[in-house]
Amino acid sequence: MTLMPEDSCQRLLDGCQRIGAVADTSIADMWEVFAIQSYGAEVEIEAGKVSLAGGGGEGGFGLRILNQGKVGFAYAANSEDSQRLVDAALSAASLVPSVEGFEFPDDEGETKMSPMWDTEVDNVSPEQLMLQADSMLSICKDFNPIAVITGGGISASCTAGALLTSQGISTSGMRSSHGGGIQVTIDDDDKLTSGWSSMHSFELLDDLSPICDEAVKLAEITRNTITDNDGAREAPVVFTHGGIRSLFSNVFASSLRGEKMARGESVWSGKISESVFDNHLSIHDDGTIEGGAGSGRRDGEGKKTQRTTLIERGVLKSGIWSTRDAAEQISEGNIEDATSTSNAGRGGHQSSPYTSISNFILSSSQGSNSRDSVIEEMEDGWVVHSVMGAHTANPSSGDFSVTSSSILKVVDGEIIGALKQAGVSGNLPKAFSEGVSLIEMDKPRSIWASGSVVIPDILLRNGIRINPS
Amino acid sequence: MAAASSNQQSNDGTGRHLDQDTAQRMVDEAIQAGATYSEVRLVSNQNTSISMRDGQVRNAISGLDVGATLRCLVNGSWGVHSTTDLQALTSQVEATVNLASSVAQRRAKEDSAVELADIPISTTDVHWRSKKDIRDISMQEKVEVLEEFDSFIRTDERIVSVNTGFTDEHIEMELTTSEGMDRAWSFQRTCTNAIVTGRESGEVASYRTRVGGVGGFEAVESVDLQQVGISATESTLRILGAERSPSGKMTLIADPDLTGVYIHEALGHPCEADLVAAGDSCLDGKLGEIIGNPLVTVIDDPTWQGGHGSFPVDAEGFDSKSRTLIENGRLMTFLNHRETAAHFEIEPNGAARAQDGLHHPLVRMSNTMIMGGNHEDLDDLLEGIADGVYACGSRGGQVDTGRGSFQFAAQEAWRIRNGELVEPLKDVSVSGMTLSILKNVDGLTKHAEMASPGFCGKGQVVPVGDGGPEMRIQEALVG
Repeated sequence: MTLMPEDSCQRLLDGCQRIGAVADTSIADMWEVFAIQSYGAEVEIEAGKVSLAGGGGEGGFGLRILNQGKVGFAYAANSEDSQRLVDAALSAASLVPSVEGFEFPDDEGETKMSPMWDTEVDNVSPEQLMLQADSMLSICKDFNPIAVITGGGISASCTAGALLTSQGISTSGMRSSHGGGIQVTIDDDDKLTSGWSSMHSFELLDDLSPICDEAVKLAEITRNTITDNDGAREAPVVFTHGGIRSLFSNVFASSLRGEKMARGESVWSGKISESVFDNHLSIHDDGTIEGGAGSGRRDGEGKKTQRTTLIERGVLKSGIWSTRDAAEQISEGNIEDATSTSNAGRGGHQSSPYTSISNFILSSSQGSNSRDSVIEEMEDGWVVHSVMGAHTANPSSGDFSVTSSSILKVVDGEIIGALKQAGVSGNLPKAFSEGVSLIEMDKPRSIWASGSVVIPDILLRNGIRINPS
Repeated sequence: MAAASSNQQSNDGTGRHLDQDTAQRMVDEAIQAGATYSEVRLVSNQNTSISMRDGQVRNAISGLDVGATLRCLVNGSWGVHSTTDLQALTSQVEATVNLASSVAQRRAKEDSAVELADIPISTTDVHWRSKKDIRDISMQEKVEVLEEFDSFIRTDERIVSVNTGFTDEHIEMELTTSEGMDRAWSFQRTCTNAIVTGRESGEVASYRTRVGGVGGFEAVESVDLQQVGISATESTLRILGAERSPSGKMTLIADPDLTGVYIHEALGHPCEADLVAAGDSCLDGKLGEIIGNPLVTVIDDPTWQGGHGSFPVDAEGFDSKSRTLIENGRLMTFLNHRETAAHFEIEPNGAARAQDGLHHPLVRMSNTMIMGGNHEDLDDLLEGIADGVYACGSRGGQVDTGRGSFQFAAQEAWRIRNGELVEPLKDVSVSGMTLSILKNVDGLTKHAEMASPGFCGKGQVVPVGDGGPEMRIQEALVG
């Protein structure tokens, strides 16, 4: 028995057509029906054992209409009461001001890419997931006999989606997902330390040992605690990808939204063509990467996905846009010209399209150096493996003040021990404006942190203040 | 403090989403298939969401979400099935029992089986009636609230953007269990919020505010939005010109908003019995011990009228009630659900909450507060502080419950010098270790109040309330 019932895509498209047919007979100028249905299985781990197994499914239909430049949206769990859905969307549109020049996208084709679908995931049984969970519990014990998985789990899911619009877009597809995440603690000598790791793919992951390895290591490296009485100070900091990814996406994915830049809400408003990053750094948003967590043939409005250069060798080139945001900002006179960069995202059938990153990638024209050589070159500084409170960073200014309990002190190019806790603060745009080095990674992992972020370990030489407890 | 349960009316059915006979058949079928306990829980959420930018509506969405979960306990282990397809749920009983059975088969001998503490078996429905039922309020009236709110904020040319939002929910829950529980309950929740962005000389600052809680339209209508709007504008402009936070250990005074986040993160999460049972809480083994200054008394109260985290009945059918977590510095109990109450052999206290009908219950906080102390007011707390920080408003926080470390961030702050509030500060955060900082609380004002509505993530997101008095902490790690 498979997770996904047969003909799921066709049934979603049929539902979209039912709703579209009603919308066609209404006063709406344009309409767009999005449908999604997910089925999954999960196994939870708690206190060192499998604690629960489950399964289920959810989904529904979202309708966006455009009537005399006014946008309305409504959603429902099924397509049976299409008239109510159309009426609700039209009613919502009556409250919204008209956006001059806004139209739903025409069909311009789609990016050719391999399906993000693995029939092995579709065929996965709860028993297989439980065996994987048993294996993870055992592997963690092998790495460290007193390491315990205190929380986490493994899941597999299959999702069917469809988009049908009055502008000729008719598309559907399926996506599979498999992965796990665990929290490991080591409680010994009256000292408890912990580590966390996760990995996901559209393919069935045969080997989840890398997350066991990473989580156990994180719990182990912070056991040798030292004290630091030198007070708060600025110092070079190596952030692992786990330490920087949430801060990076919280601040820069917001700062690079075209609408925020046009409206003066971004720290980079009015700075197109100016230098904003260290001159070897670039950021691209790329929805076309094979297998990327944020990849797809089309974005949430049906536009063909693309690669967009946002920062090139330190110079700000563009923001990310959805069709509606671009039309609105032009209509409001905040910008002369803007077009969609195929960055319309969807938060399920309950959500109207909004601007969001696809795969957000940091790269350097200088290449990268080994972690050991970067730490040696740093001489005195810190290595931060994870932070708490990344969501409290100010996305408008880039200011942040977070805490780390996974911070190691580096003296004369060598790690000498861990602090129990330290404050980590600064301004992220300033910290990235000079003195940045990227560190080699075996295989950069695309990780969901307010979007799909591909970022290696990184050295920030300036602008980071460490406040030891 | 007033109890929201004063509003409740019993046996006033609203009509079930799930046919009661069908639900009963499902739980009976699960027992026949080998389950020792089974339940069907349904949640429907009829909601409105309006977003406005600079006085113009961007989205106005009304929706209805319905989900249900079948949960079966077999040989001391759980199996669950969750779905939006209510018809399909009936065919999942055997598979769900088998799932639970598979989990049970791999349990090691030394691991304990799940047991459930006894709770009263009720068939009484509870419906918290709103003074102004949100289902009777038109979308236009809700839009007008935002238009008015917006107009109170955009009063200075340095304010470049105002994003406001209005949300309401009419929530209905139904629970049928193999033990004979068969009840429905309902309540409403209404909030409005604003994100204000200011810009001056290339500097950007933003400030967030949210008001409302459990209740109908009155939860927002009764708030002085003019005052909230003016205050948000003033705060945004003040942050624009503020200095960066000092770093180091110093005396901190937190306002009720920040006191609430502090107690939620630093104490509330480590008090959740599922985390304690998992070996992921610094409070493991400390029941009955003194863990804080005797000044400190902490309650978690889902019956608090208007609290954002209030509810009439928990997700396992237990009538909600106030819980004292810390009394005069002593840890009195853990927040628990039936499984963890049995595990720790403590009184069940009804802290089972699920995000919606598609998630199974976890142990969660509701409205968590530090009670008032002996200091008259803020001036009384400030007296004698040579150098410190007064921090206000919350940007959120996070905790590592196992290590007992936490962090929370303030929206704005002032430097305290010689007992006076002097220059404004920005980007103030506070971190510490639960077991040491609770002992460093050395002053609380008499008046305690519920702070801004919040949300808590623990794999599932649920609305929570928190608050307290103004609180002074010595040796806080300020960053």
